[in-house]
Amino acid sequence: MPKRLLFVDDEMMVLDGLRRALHGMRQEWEMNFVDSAAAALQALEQVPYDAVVTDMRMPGTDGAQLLEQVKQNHPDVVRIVLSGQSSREAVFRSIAPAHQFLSKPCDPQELVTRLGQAFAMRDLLSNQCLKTLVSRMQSIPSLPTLYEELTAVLRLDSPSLAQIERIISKDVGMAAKILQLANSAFIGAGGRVSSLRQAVNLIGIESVRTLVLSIHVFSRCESNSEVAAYLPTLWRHSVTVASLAQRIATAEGCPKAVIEESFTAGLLHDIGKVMFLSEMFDKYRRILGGDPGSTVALELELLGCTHAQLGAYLVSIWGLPVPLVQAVAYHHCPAVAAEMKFSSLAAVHFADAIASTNDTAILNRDIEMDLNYLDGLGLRQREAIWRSFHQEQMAAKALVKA
Amino acid sequence: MGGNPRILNSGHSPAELYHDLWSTISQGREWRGEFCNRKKNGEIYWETANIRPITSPQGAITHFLAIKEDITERRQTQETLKASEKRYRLLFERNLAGVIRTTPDGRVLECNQAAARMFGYACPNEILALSSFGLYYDPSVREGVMAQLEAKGSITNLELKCRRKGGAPLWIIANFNFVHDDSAAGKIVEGILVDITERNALESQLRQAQKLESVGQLAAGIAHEVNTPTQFVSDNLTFLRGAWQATFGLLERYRQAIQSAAGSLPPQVTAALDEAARNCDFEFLASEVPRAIDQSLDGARRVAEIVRAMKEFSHPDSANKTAADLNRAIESTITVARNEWKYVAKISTDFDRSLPSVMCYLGDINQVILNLLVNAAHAIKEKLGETEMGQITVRTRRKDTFAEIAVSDTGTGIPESIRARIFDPFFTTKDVGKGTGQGLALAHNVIVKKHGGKIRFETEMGRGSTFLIELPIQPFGPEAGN
Repeated sequence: MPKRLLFVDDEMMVLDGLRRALHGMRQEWEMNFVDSAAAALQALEQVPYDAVVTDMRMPGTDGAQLLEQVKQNHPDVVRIVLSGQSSREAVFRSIAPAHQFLSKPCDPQELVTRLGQAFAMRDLLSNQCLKTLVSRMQSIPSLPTLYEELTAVLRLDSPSLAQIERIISKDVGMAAKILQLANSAFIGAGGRVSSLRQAVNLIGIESVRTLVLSIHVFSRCESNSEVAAYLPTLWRHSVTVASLAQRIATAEGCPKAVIEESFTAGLLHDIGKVMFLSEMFDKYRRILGGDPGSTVALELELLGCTHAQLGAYLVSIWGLPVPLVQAVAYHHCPAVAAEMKFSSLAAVHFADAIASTNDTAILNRDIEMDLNYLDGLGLRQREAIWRSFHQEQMAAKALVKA
Repeated sequence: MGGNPRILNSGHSPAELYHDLWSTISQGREWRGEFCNRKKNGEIYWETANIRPITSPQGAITHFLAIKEDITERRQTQETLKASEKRYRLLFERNLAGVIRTTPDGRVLECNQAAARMFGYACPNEILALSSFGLYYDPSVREGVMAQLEAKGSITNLELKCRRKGGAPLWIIANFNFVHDDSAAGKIVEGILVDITERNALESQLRQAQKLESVGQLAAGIAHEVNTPTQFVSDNLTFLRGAWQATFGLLERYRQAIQSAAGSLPPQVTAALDEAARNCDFEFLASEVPRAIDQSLDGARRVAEIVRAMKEFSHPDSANKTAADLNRAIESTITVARNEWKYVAKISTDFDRSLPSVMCYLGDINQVILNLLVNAAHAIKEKLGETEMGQITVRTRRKDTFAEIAVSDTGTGIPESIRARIFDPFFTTKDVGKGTGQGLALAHNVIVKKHGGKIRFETEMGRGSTFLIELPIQPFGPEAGN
């Protein structure tokens, strides 16, 4: 089924240009072009859309206000800003309502890639409720202790990027959000960002400070909530998988970019679980009460999608790089992703499977290693070494605790 | 009177005094002098004494007549005066402001150490040998100053450009008095001078920074204005490229169809088609249209690149140090400064791609790189004119905890005589209006004072110069990282 897109810009020539340049997409996309926020809202009332791409500065209702209303009235629509104005202030203003921020001039191909990615992940979700749930989320809850630690550091006179990065590298919610921001084109990074260090560096200390302390882009999980009780277990697992995936990618001779990507993918792989816990706690708790081996099947049956699919849709509409989206989406079934070659996805799958073997928490024991995939990559003899990495990590941790 | 004057010895006047007194009066002569004595109550007092022997008719000394006057008060006044004189002398000598006294015709009567130092001389005596006209950067300015002094008697807060020993400019702020002076026959000029060279340099750099800041704000606005048309120009070109390919493909199909059916078509139809193809020069269109579109797309990309570079160069966040990619910053600056160098030199870059981010005030660093590029271009232009192209090379390297940037040119080189002064504020070899003399002074200030780095140069006359900057990296720290 073709996707329906709505383009909004007060400059008619920009709309004409986009209409012509995206003409090649006419089989997959049904596109409508309007020159004001009012016209856009009217169009949205008439037929359902999958995505809105809007300019920021327009007379009357501007892009940020438009997207705010779209979020209220049509929460499942993917919301993208395409603006020539790329000052940080403008971006900060649209952070809450927009999923992604692209700056003009933007190669139409970039738009096709980003939206294509988001639509592909969206199609994996069975029902409207889930789409709405994901598209509404502005942030993923952070672990209270890490949140406090970060805000304390940011209130220092001169916090260092290293301190900030170290904290964010331990928190699933912060990591996802900071990558969303860094992958917004306003930073002018050109390429896509998978490394947390690079993300923090690009945004810069002052902007991180503003974003966290004034705009509150991160949200702190309520300490005494039922959800909070599950987070430390999930966080421990995520960090373990992140470091192990990084270690495995290093051992397999991956380039530096893939090694960093493996860490990030490991940290984010179970982000869907955090979302289930924070948004559908009662239902999800029932699933966790059952047999750990059937968690994924139960997710599908009772909730309509797996945590992997849910998380993947979120990171895809947030504009995270394709390999990260793939790693989150297919960390249980890496063979589904077309390419049969070692990648950050493979690193995360193996790391997750290895780490879950020794884990006592049901929450973290939902996966088994895909041995066919392992053989397909010709890496059967490497498994023992990877497991020894994990033993080392566990031993090191035990030592620290003792 | 009675009594022996000896008993009056208070111990406060030296023994020689009494010795002298005795030998004088015992020889029958009169003695005058001053004593410091002690009163009965222990109070010290000063007196003058006039002691004269009184002789009998036989000539023997029978008595002494002493006339004394208490001069304690006068003596105190004198001492106060002396102390005060000394204080004022020291106020003159030790003053950190320069103090100078000259005659109306320019003879320097007196100046203090501070004035000498300000003008670059080792001691006041060196200045005393000069005419005060020579202390002005432009000697004719002194005539104006004198005219004003004659008319008004004094001038306050006058900013003057002066000349240091060796010719370097010195900015001072001065107060002048034109007054009668007893010691010099006639009126003299008294001046109090404060060296404001550094302050002026900082102000001038601040002005430059403010200018850059407003350029930065403007750049953001212009970027917005330019980016919007760039978007649809690029979109339309992308569309045209695809549309032409499709149209051309379709035409090819038609042509093939016509060729294969050539025999069955009426000859006037094929003739008309051939003529139409000739008229529009179809072969030319087939090869040139795609090229025209591709070049236009390339042009649009370049416009976008320049706008991006302009925005990056005029970095808005000037208040904070940020972790910066120096290679990228240099690339942006080269793009922005293109007009300065493209007619005189080619630029090649040799970047250390593994250079880590450097914590710095990026706007300032951009400005420094720009200044070095402009200087390099000027040095080349001075040597070669615009007939021949020189070479500018920008290199980055990591050196332990420092990032090194080197900007080399194949220009004139820097003459020995000015090498020591090129980082001085207001020092310039360029024509009036061409350089502020602040470029390298600002570079020095930014690199050394603001970043704790180093800046130096290597130069050879006729071969060119290399400016080397070292910036501390202050890296992420080994403990950080995933």
